[in-house]
Order: sequence, then structure tokens, then C-alpha cells
Amino acid sequence: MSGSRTMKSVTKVAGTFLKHAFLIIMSIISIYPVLWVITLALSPGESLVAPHLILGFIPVPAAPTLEHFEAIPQLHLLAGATFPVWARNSIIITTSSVLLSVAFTLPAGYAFSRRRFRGQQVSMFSFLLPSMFPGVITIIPQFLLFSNLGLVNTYLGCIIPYSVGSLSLSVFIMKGAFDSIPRDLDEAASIDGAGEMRTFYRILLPLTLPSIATVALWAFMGSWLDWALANVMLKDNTLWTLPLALYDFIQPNYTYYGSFAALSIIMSIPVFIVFMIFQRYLVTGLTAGSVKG
Amino acid sequence: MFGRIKGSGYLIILPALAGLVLMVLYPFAYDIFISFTNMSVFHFRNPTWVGLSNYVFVLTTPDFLTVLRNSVVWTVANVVPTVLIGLVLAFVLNTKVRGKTIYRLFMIVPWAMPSFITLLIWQSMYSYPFGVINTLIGQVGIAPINWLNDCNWAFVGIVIANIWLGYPFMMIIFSGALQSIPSELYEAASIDGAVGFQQMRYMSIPLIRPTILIAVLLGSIWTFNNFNAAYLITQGGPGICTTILITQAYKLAFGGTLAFAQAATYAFIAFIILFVPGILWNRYTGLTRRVS
Amino acid sequence: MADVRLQNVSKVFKGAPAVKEVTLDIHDGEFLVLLGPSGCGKTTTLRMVAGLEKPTSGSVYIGNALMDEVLPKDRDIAMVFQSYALYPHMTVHDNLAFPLKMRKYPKQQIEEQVNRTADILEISGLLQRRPKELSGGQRQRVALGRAIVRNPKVFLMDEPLSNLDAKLRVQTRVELKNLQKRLGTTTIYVTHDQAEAMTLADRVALMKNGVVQQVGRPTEVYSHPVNKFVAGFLGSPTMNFIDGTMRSSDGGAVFDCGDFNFPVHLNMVKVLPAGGSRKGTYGIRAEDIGVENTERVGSVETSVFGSELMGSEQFVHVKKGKMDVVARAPMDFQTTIGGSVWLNFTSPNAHFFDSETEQALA
Repeated sequence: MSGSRTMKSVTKVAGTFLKHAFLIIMSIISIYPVLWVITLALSPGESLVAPHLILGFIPVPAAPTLEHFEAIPQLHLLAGATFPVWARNSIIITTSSVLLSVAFTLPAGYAFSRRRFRGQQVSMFSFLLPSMFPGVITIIPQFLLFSNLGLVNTYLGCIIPYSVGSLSLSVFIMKGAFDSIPRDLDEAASIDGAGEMRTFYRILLPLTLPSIATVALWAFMGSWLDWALANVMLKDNTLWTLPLALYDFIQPNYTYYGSFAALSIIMSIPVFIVFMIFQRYLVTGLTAGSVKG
Repeated sequence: MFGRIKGSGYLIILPALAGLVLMVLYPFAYDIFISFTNMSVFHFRNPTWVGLSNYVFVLTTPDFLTVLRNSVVWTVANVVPTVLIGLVLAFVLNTKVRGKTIYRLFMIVPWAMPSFITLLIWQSMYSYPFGVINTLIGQVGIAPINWLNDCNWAFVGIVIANIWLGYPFMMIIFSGALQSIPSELYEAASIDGAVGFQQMRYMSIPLIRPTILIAVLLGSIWTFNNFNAAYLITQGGPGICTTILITQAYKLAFGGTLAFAQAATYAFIAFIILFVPGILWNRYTGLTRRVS
Repeated sequence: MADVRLQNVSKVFKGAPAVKEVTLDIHDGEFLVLLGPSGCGKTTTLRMVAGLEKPTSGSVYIGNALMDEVLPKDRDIAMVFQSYALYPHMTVHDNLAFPLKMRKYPKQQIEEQVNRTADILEISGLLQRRPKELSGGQRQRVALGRAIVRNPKVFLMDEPLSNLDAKLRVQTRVELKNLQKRLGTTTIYVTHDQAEAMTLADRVALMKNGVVQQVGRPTEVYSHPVNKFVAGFLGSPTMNFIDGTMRSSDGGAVFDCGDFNFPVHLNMVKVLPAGGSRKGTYGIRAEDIGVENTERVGSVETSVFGSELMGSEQFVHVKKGKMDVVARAPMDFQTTIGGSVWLNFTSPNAHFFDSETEQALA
């Protein structure tokens, strides 16, 4: 009896050790490139001065300095284009895209869930289409269309595609969320005297907040970091968003590592914040009503 | 019920639908149209109809097969590892482990961090001869590899980077699925005689099978068209070694010759390839099924 | 077949004790019901026998073997969960076969036993269906089937009937009892429904706040409850409790409620300290109260509040002063709301409970 007891605890300890070893290795792999970004951002100068390497591979800044961060407000590449400008552009475009996206998605998800109309299946399927083909390619005709409309080189030229771009997945997330609320609630509300709009605002909306958060997060991530579309749409460097500016730091001959890294970190902070706030909603939002069994 | 918004559901979905039509369906249709013309920097304002000649041209370019092959290999080489790693991580993090939350936080960094940035970091990590990766493998005695300029290694490089980007998402999805399994089932199973790996084999995996299938399908579709990793790190080079259908299309369109017609051709071909899985996905998840 | 013994078993969850020093001896082949309100620790106790929870202190023995380090799967037990816990991704057949498959029974034998079990429970026609295609009652049978297919030493059941509709529940109860007698397997059954306990149990153990209050045959516990809790938990309608003081009177005893008093049976005298009086609660069941339309010596006039007509009998609710009582009367007994009936409280089956300890003194 006691012999098998020791066997059991040995296998238990070995198992725990293996688990932790695996998790630690994966964690290091996961954050490694980021460690480099942080190190570069804190290292002096612009070239890849070899920082200290703990254990031979973990980078730590040799002479930590905040010079790159301090230089950010002054950063500029070409006349007229500076950090505050890029930041402002990104913020305006992203916020508008998120708001617009949510504004489009909510009614659509609601209608697909609560209403019945002809061609419903077809229209739902058509929302799926965008995910099936290269979003990058729709850039061409979008560009052409917008240049005819005079929207190239404007904020709207980016806002509209961004808002619509995240629609496909978002509509389904919202539909799923509304689906998971039983109709009884709608009926109870209408008996209590609430009209449809009221029911929507007071009852359904609050209950689907996690999914709405997911939709917002999705739209945010699709627009704050986009490079491909912005590259095509925004020609004036006074309109450049952060990703565009960032890419420019990598010249063919020389990369301004320090500024690049510092700017990257600044760009990532909002993403992390938004992500941290919403990540608990993410899984429930993504899987609401879709995982069977 | 009074207060009901008049009109059928169409009215409500109108904004979204309009946006969709305008920004997605119309461009899509227009793309198809362009692919039958000769639009490029030479024929920008007045493209003429050339029928299927673009398609013939594209499909018979010797490059095409390579690019197609790249796309398929790219997809498989990405999806299989990301799903597996995601599964293993999800399982391990679903057991009693101390520091679960901290580990989780680290694991999602590749996903949370802007890929745009991390991919550029990967690019510099791959530089020859003193990039980080080369330094690391040097410590184990392997000679530095000219990652970005060697045909095969460049491909391996972008695959590794993309897997790094991809497994957090899979892990999150599978974690969610695992957590939605009622713990009573595991209790019943443990009384019935299933322990440890048996529980995984007979309970967990069969129960999350739908999720795994959707993840593989979705993952494949997304990866096939994944622009960022393949473009940002290597721009499709060296040569066309790391070019997949979509980066080829982008290059043709915005690489100077504005060969929109050819780009559209590539894009449409990619779409056709993905259409069947797309239908399958819809069927399987019942996404468009109406709630009764 | 085996007996089950719990010796001073306790369980503490994060500082809050759920089960306190429970000692129970369950005989081989016996149907023991753990009865009590929610949160009394009965399910936790069951789970400790199953091995799903580890006792904080004390020991569990199954068939005289100490179960401390033994995994659930090695205890040769089977459990039916309240929610059935059927494997949704397997057919009924595979659900039933699973326990056998895990123990590596030969395929032939698995088929035999599954079919035999399906026959007993009359679910043979459902073998190829999935749980989500079954009705509640059918699922319940599959859950039972999965438990009996292996012929374990002990059945553990956690409120398996509570998800069934009332009629089905009553019907299944009887079938369950019958089945258990046929199989002769030791069974520990948890429920909060006292009627269920009375029907099913060979013996019933009442629990409150993690402590076993009383163990005994249903009839025993019903007529001789050891404290107020047990008395009040069993029986429908609930036993009437009247607070007051027992006093001696002319060699007998009367119960004084303040505004009025009524005579009680002679055997109540034993609760009185030498010639004195005692504060406490008088307990008497509806069926033990005499109900008359006219006054009689020793009866109390009360005002009718209402009456429940059950078809074969009626339960008359009356009030007097602060006293609230339910008494059983034949169907044809006439009552009017607000009218008077006279109640007689002298039954020998009445109980008296100490005001502090609530222990039964008679």
C-alpha cells in the first residue's frame, strides 16, 4: 500500500514539473520578441548595440535610457509629419471605426436574430463572404471607388472600410448573443409595456454587453494596427497613421531601432489596455451560441 | 405590440447591409470584372475587356504553380502546429497548475501585441549574420543561417513567426470549449473508471470536437489569405519563395505597375479555392441557421 | 455487496464546516436515505463515500476496507447524479457500456450486460439514441442503467428524481425501491423530499448543519423523533408546534399557552420536574388532533381559518390567539370560515420539546 503511495506521489511531482517546464518554455517563447522591443526601446543610440544577454539570450538593456521615449513627441520623418499628427490621425480613425462598426453590427445582429424576412439566409451568408477572400484585395476596387468619390486621402477613406471590415465576424457574434437570450424576455417586456426599441435598449443591450465588447475589441484591433489599407488610402504624410509611420523607420539600409522600438511600445499600450479590459469577455463573446454539446 | 419598428428586418440591417454591399460585395464584383480586363498602369482609365486571357496568363505562368504550392504548404504548415500547440496549452492550463493566470497572460502576448510590430521584430531577429536567432543557434553550435535570403529558410522563418502569432488564439478558443464542459461529466467518468489521459481521450477531446473542427477550418481559411507575416517579413522574397497567392496579388496591384487586372485574377482564384471550405464551415456551424 | 461505514467523518470547506463528525453504519443490502434541507451536508457526505471529496478527518470504510487513498474508480461504487451527467457525445448504448469498457471487460460480456441492463430498465429501444434526444424520464433510466450495469457493491444516488415531474417521480420511486430489492445492492440515497425518504428507505438518517440528528427506520423516526427538527421535517402536513408551558394539574398535565390551556395525555407528566412546570414546545401531528363540531370536555374552541380538501380527507386550519394549528378531519366534516371547531389535544402520540435543547422529552 505505501509502496504504491510513493509511486503515486513521484509521478505526481514529475507531472507537475513537466507541466511547469513546458509552460515556462512556452512563456519565454511567447514574450521573447517583446523583450527585445523593450530592450531596444531602452537602449541608447540607434544601432543595434549588443545589450547584456542573461543566460546568453535574454536581452537586458546595457545602459537603460528613456531617450527614445522622450524623443517621440519630436519624431518626424518628413516635413509636416510628426508624432502628435500620427497619433491624432490614428485615434480619430480608430475611434470612428469602432463606433460605426458597433452601430452597424447591433441592428444587424438583432434583425438576424429576432426578425424573420425573406432572403435572410442569403444575406447572412453574404456576411460570411468577406472572410473567405483576401481582404487585402478588396483594397483595389475600394481604392478605385473612393478615388472616384474623392475619398482617397481622407479619413473616411479608411474609416468606412475599417468599420465594414470587421462586420462579418461581428454580426455573427451579435446574432449569437441575441439568440442566447430567450424570447420570453422580449415577451415579458412587451407585456410590461415596453415597445421594441425600449426592449432593445433597456433589456437586450445590457445583457449582451460582453459580446458588444468583443465586437468593439475586434473593430479596434482591425483598425488601430492596419497597415495595408492605410498605405494605399493615405498619401499625404499629414494623414499618416501610426502604423504607416512605424514602417517608415525601417529603411532599406538602416533601421532606427531605438525610435522604432519606443514607438512600437507606445502604439501597443492602448492595445494592451483595451485588451486587458475586454479579454475576459472575449471567449464568452466569441463562443456564445456557437459551441455545440 | 405598439412601438414595433415598422418594416421588415431589412430596414434594420440596412446600414450594415449597405456598408457590406458597398465595401465588400461591390468591390468583390468589381474585382471579378477587372480580372476580365487589362487594367494596369498602362490602361488605367479605359481598361478593355480581354475575356479569360488574364486567367490563362496567370494559370500558365510557371510561377503560378509555385505560388499556389506555397499557399497550400503555408496553410498546412501553420494550421497544424497552431492547433496542436493551442490544444496542448489549453489542456495543460485546464488542470490544477499554480500561477495559471500569469502563464495565460504570457501566452497571449503574441496575439495581443500588434503583429505589425512583432513581425518587424521577427524580421530583424532573422537578420544575417548577427540577428538574434543566429546568435541563439550559434550558442548550440549551429552556423548562422541566412534566413531572409535563402529560399527554404525564409519560408521556414515566416511559418515560425506566424505560428508564434497564431497559437494564442487557438489556445483561447480551446480553453473556452474545455471550460464549458460540466465538471460533473468528469466526476461521472472518474467513477466509471476513466482517469487522467483516459479522460482526455474519451471525454475532453470528443466533447470539443466541434470546436476543433471549426478552428481548423477557420484557421485554414484565414491562414491561406494571411497577408501580414508573408509580406512584412520577406516581401515575398527571395524571388517568389515566400510568395503566396495574396502577397502576389498585392505586389502586382501596388508594386508600381498597378496591374490591377492580374491582381484581381489571383484574388479570384484564391477565393474559388476557399469557397468550398467556406460553405462547409457555414453548414457545420449552422451559423446562418435561423433561431426557431 | 458490502456494508459502508463512516467513522467520525468531517469535511471543512475553506473554514466553513460542512460535515461534522458523522458516524454511520450502513448494512449490506440496505437502502439508507440521507435526508435533510439544502446545505445540511448530505451531498457532501455522499461524495466522500464516492471519493469525489476527501474527508478533512475521519474514515470511510467500504466492505471493511479503508478508503482513504482509494480512487473513486477503485471503490467499486456507482453514482447517479442529480443532473444525470450522461455523456452527451455518446449513444445510450455507449453510455451504458463505458464503465465496462474502462474496466476492460471483453466485448461479448459488455454487450450482454448492456442488453440485460437495458431490458431491466425497459430502455432497449433507445440504445442508439443520444441523450439529448431523450425525455427526462428516459434520461433518468439511462443514468440508473449506467450505475447498475457494472453490478457494483454500492449505489450512491444524489437526488436522482428531483428533475422529474411529480407524477413520474412518484411512479419511479416505487420502481426504484423494487429494483433495489431485486438487486440487493447497498444503496445510499440523498434527498430533501421527506415523502421520498419515507417510501424508499429501509432506514433514514436526518442531517442538519452537517450533523446527523437521528438514524432509524422511517416509522421509528416518524413516531419517535429525537428533536424538534426531525419531528418537523417528517410528515405532511408538518407537525404542529405550540409554544407554552407544561403544568401539572390534578395528577395529570395541562399545556398552558398563555391565553388558554388544554389538557394533555397522562404520559406528559414525566416531563415535569417534581410538581413544577416546564417551558417548551408541544408537538402534535394533524392526524392526532381530535376535531369536533361541538364542545366537549377537554377540548379547545378555535376559529376556522380555512380547509384543504384532499378528496379522501381534509386538513382544517385553525387559529386561536397566537396558536396556529392544522388538524385532520374526514371529508364530510362541515366547516365554515370564521366558524368554530373544537380540538382535542390529548393524543398519546404527542411530543414535548425542551425550549432550549429542542430535544424530545416525551
